[in-house]
Amino acid sequence: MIRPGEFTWLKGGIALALVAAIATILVKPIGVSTQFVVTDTIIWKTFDKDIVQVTEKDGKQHYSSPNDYINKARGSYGHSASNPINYSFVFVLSMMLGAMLSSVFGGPKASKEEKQVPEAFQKRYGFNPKKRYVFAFIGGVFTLFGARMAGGCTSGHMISGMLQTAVSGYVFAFGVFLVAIPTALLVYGIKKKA
Amino acid sequence: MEILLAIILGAAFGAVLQRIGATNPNHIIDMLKLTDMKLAKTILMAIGLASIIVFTVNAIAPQTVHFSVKAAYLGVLVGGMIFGIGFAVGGLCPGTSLASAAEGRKDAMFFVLGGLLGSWLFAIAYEHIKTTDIYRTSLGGKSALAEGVFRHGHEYHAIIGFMSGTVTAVVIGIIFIIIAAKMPNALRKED
Repeated sequence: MIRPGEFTWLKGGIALALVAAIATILVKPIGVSTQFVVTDTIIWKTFDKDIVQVTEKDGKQHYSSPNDYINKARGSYGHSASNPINYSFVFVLSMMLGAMLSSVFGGPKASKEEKQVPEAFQKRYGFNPKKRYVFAFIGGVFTLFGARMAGGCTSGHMISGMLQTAVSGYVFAFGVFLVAIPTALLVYGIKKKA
Repeated sequence: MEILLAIILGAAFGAVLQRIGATNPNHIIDMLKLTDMKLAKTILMAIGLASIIVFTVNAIAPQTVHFSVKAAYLGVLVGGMIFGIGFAVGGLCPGTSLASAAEGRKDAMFFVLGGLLGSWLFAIAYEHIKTTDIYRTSLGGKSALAEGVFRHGHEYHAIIGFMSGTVTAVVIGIIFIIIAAKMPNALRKED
C-alpha cells in the first residue's frame, strides 16, 4: 500500500540505489549501527572518564579502553567518541535531519496517533501507547544487541553488504528473515477467534 | 570534504528512507507478515541497481570504489537471528529508528533508547563472547561473490571465479531487479 507522499518501489528503489552507490564509490558503504556504540561510549565517558584512554606516541594519539569491545579495532570506537565530527557520525546525524525535513516537505505524514502507536500494532493490541513503547524499547534492545554481534545492520550488512556481493550480507539477511517473519506473524498476526 | 559528503549523503539517505516509507513501522511489520511487500520490492530494487552502478564504475576505474566487505562468521547468523526478533517486535531497524524518531514518532524514540541499551549490553558481554564459536566459526570470512572487489589494493576472496566480477555483479543485480518487479504487492492476505 502506498501512502500519500511515498515513492513507488521503482522510484524509491532508484533513489536509494543512487545514495548507496554514490556513498560506496566516493567514501565508504553506508552503515548505521556502529554509531549506537559510539553514542554509548560518549555517554559512558561522562560517567567513567577512564573508559576511553588516550596516549600520545610519536605525535600520534592512540586510543584504548579497559572494555574489550570499545578497545576493538585499535580503539576506533573510543577514537570516534572522542572526535564525534567524523564522517560516519555526521552521516547519521544528517540522516536524521534529512528524514525530518522530508516529513515536513512533501514526504508521507503520520497522524498524532500513528506517531505513538502504528496501525499494524493497533490492529492486534488496540490503541495502547504504553504497550507499544515497551514493545519498541524491547525491539531496540534485541535489534542493536544482534546488530553488534553480527557487526552490522540492515544498512551495513543488507544494503551495503549485498550490493558489494558480500557473503556476510547474505548470511545476515538469511538469519534476520528466518526469525523475523515467524516472529511478526506470531506477535502481529490477528488472533484467531475461537 | 569528507564531512561535506557526510552531510549531503546522510541527508539524502534519511530523506529517501522517509520517502520510501521505511521510517513507518507499519511497512516493516506488514512486510514481515508478508501482507505488504512494497518495502521489500524497494530494497531489492535498490540493492540490484546499486550493485550494477558500483560494479560498472569498478570496471571503468578499477580500485577506485571504496569497497569494505565485512567478515561472515557464526555471529553474523546468530546476531541476525537476534536482530530478527527485535526487527519484528519493534517494527524498526537501527537506521530507520533514528530517522523515524527525527520525524517525531514517539515509539521510535523508545526503540532508540532500547538500542543504546542493547549495544551497551553487547559491549559488556563481548569479553565473554569473543573467545566462543560465535567469533571462531567462520562462515566464509571476508569474501565476496564477485571478483575484483578491492580495498586498499587488496582483493577480497571471490566465490565465483569463472566469470569477471562485473558480469557476476550485473547478473546478480538484474536478478534482484527482476525479483523486485515480479514480487506481488502481497504474498498473503491480511488475516
